[in-house]
Amino acid sequence: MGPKIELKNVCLIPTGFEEATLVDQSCTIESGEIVVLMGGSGCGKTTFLRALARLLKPTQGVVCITDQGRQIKEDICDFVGFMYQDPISGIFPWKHVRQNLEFPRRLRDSNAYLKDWGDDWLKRLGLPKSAEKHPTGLSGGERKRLLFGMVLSYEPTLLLLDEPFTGLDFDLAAKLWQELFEYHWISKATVVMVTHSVREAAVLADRVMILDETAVFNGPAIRADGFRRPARATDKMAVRLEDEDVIKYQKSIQQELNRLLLHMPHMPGEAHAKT
Amino acid sequence: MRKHNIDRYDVLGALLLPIVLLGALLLLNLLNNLCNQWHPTVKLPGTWEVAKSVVVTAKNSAVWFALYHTIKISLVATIVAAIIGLSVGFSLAYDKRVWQLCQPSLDMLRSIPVTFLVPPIAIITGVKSPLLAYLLAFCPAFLFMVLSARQGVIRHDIDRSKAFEFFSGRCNRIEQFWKILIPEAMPEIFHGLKLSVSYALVIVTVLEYFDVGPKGGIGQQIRTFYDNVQYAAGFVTIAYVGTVGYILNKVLDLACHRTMHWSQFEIES
Repeated sequence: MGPKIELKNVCLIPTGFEEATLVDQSCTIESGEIVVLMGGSGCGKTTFLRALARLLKPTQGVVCITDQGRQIKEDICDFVGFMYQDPISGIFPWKHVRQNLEFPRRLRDSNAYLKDWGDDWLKRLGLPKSAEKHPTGLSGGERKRLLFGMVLSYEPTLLLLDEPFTGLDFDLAAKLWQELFEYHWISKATVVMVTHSVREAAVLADRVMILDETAVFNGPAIRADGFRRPARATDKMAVRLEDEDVIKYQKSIQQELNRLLLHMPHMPGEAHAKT
Repeated sequence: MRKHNIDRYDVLGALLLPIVLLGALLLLNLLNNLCNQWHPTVKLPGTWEVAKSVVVTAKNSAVWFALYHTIKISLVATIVAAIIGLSVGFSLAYDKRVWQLCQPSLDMLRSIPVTFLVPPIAIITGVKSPLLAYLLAFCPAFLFMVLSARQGVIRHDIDRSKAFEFFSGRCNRIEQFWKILIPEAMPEIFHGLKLSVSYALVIVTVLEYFDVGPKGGIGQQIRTFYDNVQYAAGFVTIAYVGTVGYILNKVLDLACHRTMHWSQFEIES
């Protein structure tokens, strides 16, 4: 079961910036929840995610991570899976694709036999032909898939994913949504994911959080409560792309985004969302 | 492993080398002939004379022995400088305060021509001591290695180091150093090595030419040729030193491509 995260009056200033991205914001992410974070470009989604991973320290307020009632104050590397927006930062260019995929598990257990596991995951990620390639020879989408596999490989209970499926074609993205969904189903991990795709959010999210820049003068406000999924069929371990509740949810998210982000530039995910 | 394809422009560049040397010689001859119109100067050897001298010098075992001697000193100095320089460079990269303490001294030292250090070092080692050549070749190579190693480490991707911590589930700095920082610093290290070996070769040759340091090097051989008015042989020997520098750089290039076949970076110096 994944940890619970609470932000209390958090103020965030990203590295190299002088102005705060988030000012005095509070929210809670429940244990085992899939939360999708949306908002206009540059509104601070990645900064928010970095703060959750403790890659960025809040200048004010606290980010509390609680696992089974116990507040975790020490290092959280052990159970966090962080996927960078730029996948090359998370992979190791001097290793082959297979070595990269096996690397996190190899680091945690140097004697593990990973041949069959690696073959299976290469197939699931659609990379079996690239096993002996170096990541520099992969396309952007292939790198994203590789990093996605690496992040899931060591079974973290807190998954922080920064635009993990951006740049992938729909079929591939849907396959990986399924992988994420299955993983979440089995591990009950807490997932916080940044995306621009409304459809992706509608398919995966238990709740959509929107960083709303329009209403607040000194930084975006977290709109977290109005976008909870009305219902999800919990007896299935499959993502449902065309179910009525998904389509309804997608429409309501789109409406809310349109309302909040009316004065903002074009959202990159909109075109994708309408497909 | 990706094959290192030979670029035709690399081959063309290598083939151009003797033509460039020949061109320089022709230009010198032209200038020499022009100067002779106004006042008598020492007649430079003609191109044909130099071409003949290539064969004669190639048969001269003393030249090869001298070349071996110079290369040995240059390489030993570079290797020692690399070992010590890398350790110092990595330490400086790790701690900002240590770097702040050392930076003024390093900046000052790299602005001093190394030949200026001959008298103070010669007082300790003696003017004819081989140690003098080793020490003087070591100095610039050491500085290059320190700065390259530090640059390689501080320019590494911090996000990748953090990803390593997530993947390993702990923050082990030694493991991180070997598995992340060293591979990431490799392009800079090779860049530093190429500069170091070239400078070491130049320093040792110059010292030998001015009769400082050990006897029997290629610099001394060039001087002997000039003293005996064998200008053609002197020219050819200079070309040999240049060719050795070129070959050493090519060897390091190959080593770099083998070690970093994964990289998209081109190592230029």
